Amino acid sequence: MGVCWCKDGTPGEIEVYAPSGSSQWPQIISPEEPRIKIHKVVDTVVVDQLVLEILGLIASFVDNDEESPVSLVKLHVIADKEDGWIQVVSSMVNVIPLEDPFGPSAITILLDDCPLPSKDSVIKVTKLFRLSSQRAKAREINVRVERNICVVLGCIAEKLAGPNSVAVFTDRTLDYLITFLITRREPCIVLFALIALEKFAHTTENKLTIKQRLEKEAEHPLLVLERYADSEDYMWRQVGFCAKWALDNVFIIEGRKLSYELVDMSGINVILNSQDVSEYLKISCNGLEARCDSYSFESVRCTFQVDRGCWYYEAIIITPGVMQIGWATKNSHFLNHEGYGIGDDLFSLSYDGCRRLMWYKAKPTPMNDIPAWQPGDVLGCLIDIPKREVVFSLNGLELRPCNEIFDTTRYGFFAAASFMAFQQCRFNFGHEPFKYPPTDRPFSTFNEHGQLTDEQKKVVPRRIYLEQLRCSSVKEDSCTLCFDDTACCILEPCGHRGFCSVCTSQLKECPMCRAEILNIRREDT
Amino acid sequence: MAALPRRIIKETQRLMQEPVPGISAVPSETNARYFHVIVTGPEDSPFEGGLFKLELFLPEDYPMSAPKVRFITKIYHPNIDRLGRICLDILKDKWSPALQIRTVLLSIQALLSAPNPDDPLANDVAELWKVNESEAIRNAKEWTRRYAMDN
Repeated sequence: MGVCWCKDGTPGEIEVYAPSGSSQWPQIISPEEPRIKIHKVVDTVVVDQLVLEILGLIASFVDNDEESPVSLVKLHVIADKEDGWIQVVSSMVNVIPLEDPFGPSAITILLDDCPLPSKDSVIKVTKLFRLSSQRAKAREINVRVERNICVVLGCIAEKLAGPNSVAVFTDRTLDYLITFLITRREPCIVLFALIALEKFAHTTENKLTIKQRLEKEAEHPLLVLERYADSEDYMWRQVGFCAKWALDNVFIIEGRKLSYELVDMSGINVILNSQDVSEYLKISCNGLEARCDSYSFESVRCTFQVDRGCWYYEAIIITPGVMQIGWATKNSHFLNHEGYGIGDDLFSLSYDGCRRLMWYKAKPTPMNDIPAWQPGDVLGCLIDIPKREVVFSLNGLELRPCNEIFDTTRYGFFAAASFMAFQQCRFNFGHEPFKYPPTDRPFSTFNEHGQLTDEQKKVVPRRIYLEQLRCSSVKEDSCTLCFDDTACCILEPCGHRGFCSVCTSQLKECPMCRAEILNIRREDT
Repeated sequence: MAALPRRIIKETQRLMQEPVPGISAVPSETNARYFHVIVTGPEDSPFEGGLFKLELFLPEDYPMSAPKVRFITKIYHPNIDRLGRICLDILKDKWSPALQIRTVLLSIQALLSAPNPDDPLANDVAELWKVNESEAIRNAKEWTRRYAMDN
């Protein structure tokens, strides 16, 4: 292509968020801050182009086994040099558009794929951004750039958790992020500033700093923001959701009741199952709204199983990005870190209205006859078990029915969904009237048939649940592999023992000596 | 989340009560399958004096399949690539469910003491390690100083 990626061209200096010929980017230069000089690895325009190419590709990149696209490989080569990494980050901040539904996820994916940055480059980047409360308060700001900076800070915080995160998290970074929460200017910046703070708080020392800082304000900024959790403005609603979640899970305020203790659950008989969800999904206190802010592909099933008849539920789309919403049995596995979710195996089927793809066995089928989903749209999910049909609809407009899943599965279905980074939706399992109920056939709703005890209705914050688990004890004669069942098997011919029957059934060779297992003898026989 | 297997609870409790010298592994507050790990560079190795951060994740079918581990701190080592991925047999085909988080981390620490350039993941590093070991070791020390020490 005539581009030499590794050439050390004329040494230059890059100006973050001020590509040539543009004067719309804010320049807030504090006098005491020395200008940071970056040695350009390649021309900024080239990096910008590569970043935009990747953004375009992510939308069509649907097969995890595919080769990495060429532009990604090129970006890796650039980012492998310290200053190149900084250039890639700067480009992302400058060029990723606000309206692209893949924008923030693209930043996380790209940064996660890039070679590891050193602490120095990370500190350099944060200096280059010239973060400060003044910057956040400037009369004119470029919303896109500030939003992207917040996304990048969040990714860096996640990558560097530990002592490095403390080093990077300076007072100025904290000031910059907190200022957005206080001024509540531009919900999309507030949202990603809040998410960045939450990720910095993965490191305990930072968490304490942030918590103290928040509590110093006359009115706790998160208490103000959590009031937006029911907003009909979907951007503010996300802010409210994240603020509430952070108050329940990360920045605990003494004396504040946790949301699950206050929420009115009367009339709600089916919710998302907080015991049947991958690790990073955030579930609202009423169990009906979910969100992912991690770069993994997070999934959840609902509490109610359907085996026969015809059933319908609706998902209200809050963010326009990639979610795979549909039906799954318990045989469907949540492989969040490999990027597999609902619709990516034999036992689940889903629709992704962002890329307009129906998913089954991780194979996409394009559905080009309807528009991509937008915040506020309603995805209808119908399963007609006797007729062996699953029918999705967007705002009442039906997609063509699909039936492959019935080749392997006839019963045991749950409403289920997977979420890419920064995606959110709300479920209606029938506790309120449907927007677009099917008119061509009779159907039932989960909520009229479901039942939950008061205990099951509690969406307890995960940290409390884990604390309870860690205090539980384990019996001493239990299987040395799982510690769940009693050890009762002897492997033959090697004679090693201490395993239960469930574990031994999964073994091909002895875990102790790797000898082939020819026979399993129970200790009591 | 899917109910947490007792195995993970048990291992976590033991890691907390009897930590391995030179290794710290702390579970994430919100995800019991994710551990923040710090390994101290072994004495008499080019990594001495460095603190190396890793992430360790227990997949759904753990212990039937191996934990996923990678370096977060940059390191100059023939068996660790630029993305921090580790080439270690027990993390792949030589995994056994009788191995544990602690044994895995001990093996990684041992790998730092004894790099194996004949089974490389980072080809350029391995090449140098074979043809000019003293220069490779100098590089490794330099990287340790630059990226793994809190000056």
